[in-house]
Amino acid sequence: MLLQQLLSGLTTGAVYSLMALALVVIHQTTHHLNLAQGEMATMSTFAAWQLLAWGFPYWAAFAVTLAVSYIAGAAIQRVIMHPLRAGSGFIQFAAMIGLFLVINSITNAVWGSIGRSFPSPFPARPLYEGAPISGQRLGIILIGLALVVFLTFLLRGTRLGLSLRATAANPVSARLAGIAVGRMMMVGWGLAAAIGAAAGMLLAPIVALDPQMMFNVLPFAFAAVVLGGVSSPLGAVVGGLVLGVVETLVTTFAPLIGRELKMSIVLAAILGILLVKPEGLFVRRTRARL
Amino acid sequence: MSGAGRLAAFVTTRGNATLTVLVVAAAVTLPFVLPGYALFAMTKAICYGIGIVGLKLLTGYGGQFSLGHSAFLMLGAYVAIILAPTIGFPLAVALAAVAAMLLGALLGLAGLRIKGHYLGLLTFMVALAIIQVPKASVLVPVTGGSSGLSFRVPLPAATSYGRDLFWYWTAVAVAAAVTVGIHALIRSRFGRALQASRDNALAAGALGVNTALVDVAAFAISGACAGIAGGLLAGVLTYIDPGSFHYTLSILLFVGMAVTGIRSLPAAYIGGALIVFVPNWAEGVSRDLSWAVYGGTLLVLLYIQVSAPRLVRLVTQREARKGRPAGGMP
Repeated sequence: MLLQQLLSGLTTGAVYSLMALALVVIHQTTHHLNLAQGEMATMSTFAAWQLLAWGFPYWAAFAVTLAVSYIAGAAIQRVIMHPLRAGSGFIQFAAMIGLFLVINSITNAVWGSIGRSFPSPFPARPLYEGAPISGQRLGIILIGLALVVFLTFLLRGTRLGLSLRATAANPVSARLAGIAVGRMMMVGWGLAAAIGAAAGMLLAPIVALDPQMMFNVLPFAFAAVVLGGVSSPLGAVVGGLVLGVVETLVTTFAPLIGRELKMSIVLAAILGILLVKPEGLFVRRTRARL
Repeated sequence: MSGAGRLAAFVTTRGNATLTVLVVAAAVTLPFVLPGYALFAMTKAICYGIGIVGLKLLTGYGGQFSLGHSAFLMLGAYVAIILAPTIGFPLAVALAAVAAMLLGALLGLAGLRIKGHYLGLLTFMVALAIIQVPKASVLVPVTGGSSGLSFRVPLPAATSYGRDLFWYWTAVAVAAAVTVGIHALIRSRFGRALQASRDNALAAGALGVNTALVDVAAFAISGACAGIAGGLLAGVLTYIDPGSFHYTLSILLFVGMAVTGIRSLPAAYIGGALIVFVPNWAEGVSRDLSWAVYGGTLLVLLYIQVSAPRLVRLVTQREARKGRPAGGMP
């Protein structure tokens, strides 16, 4: 029973981790938090659903969705965020609220608010007789881990990753050092959109696919980011997994507060972490200078 | 400076002067022109405007984001509606302000650790979480759960139109007091310390400003404004439930603050009017895509706000070039 709950929590946590990863990537490349991230992921998932409905094989639809999401994310950066670059962080925040409303509204209008079932590439039955975890849940966890390895390598081990991080840390110096800052920002948005799409397509078989799907996940992903630290992909993943397990355990063993005040509990956890260890569990403290 | 001098300074502050006159003139003439229902809508707009004034103190002068101000309104409204029958409405609103102030201080403490957009999302979570609280089974006897609470205090005015007028003038009076108070606060030593902390926290700290204290205080005061707004709203609406303070209200408050100039206090009431009227307009444009219309309008307004200075410069340069006599270069 306990093992079952732990594993189920890990699966939920893996989805939080994926969304948290998308947030970390955006932060690593723009130093911003994209409020519309969840809505973009939901729309991508609906696009994948549409492709499947048109008869695409699963992995083809998966790949096409990733590519389209990447392009759409980069396009949003170029068309909407780029013209506002002269504005303060506050203007950009307001723009993301605008994006959030527009995307959510369009998804609602095109696909409607009824829940839809979304297929999973992994078998729903246990791997072998009596296994504590279904193939589907194991698949989600494995894909999540693969993405972490890939992203950590991308951000820490490649020239592109270095350019992305330099752009976020100091766009002016980065430009002077010969980095195409505008292109890096597009790449950052595109990457985050693609990761969000992957998270959405993995989550959709577990919960029903509806326009609010990611809206319910984003706060938890954010909590995971705070727990792990905003600049650490590994931290985001560990944070997401811990959160998923804690949430499942609380809901199971203290159903009264667990179900009704779920969000308040997460919130209290975030506030507690911020007061005790504000930089997160996996991040070195940074210094500022005048 | 004397009280009258302070008021004069308030009215004559640069671009705000005309706006202040217009807003005050509108506030005084509207009740004689508008029918009862529109008056009720205006009263709501003023209440939201009070919340936006608090938000402008926080964002425009303190440099912090909050997407959680519906939480303060909700807390204020519930405190006021629960306490009003026992201790009277004015005292209940005062306590609503205190309660919201405490919540604001708590978020202000979090704001010391987490900045910018992340604080925005954190406060948004507060707005999401708080609408669950009155529905928690432990609290239902006090809060009425999903079915909400009614305002049960006898009013001096008996007729329905009289009630609308009563609430309108109460809201106008409170709004005037809050706006003048916040304006005075911004011009005080505290206000200068707050703006210094916004512009460069390290430098301000080096000059002896207790930036942590100032930032937390700004959040607390901003919360108190929204708490007062919520307390008033409880009386104005005569009935509240968790749905009256849906998280979209936080978004609307933020947008109302954002598009009316983040440092202009009198314009906050225009922002309040936008909250009441624009969603209806957007729904009129397209029923299915009303929020897309709203969001798209917001993006266009932001774009204008960012590029307006550049456009103005372009036009004035062209004018200057035209005005120059041909071959006038020595």
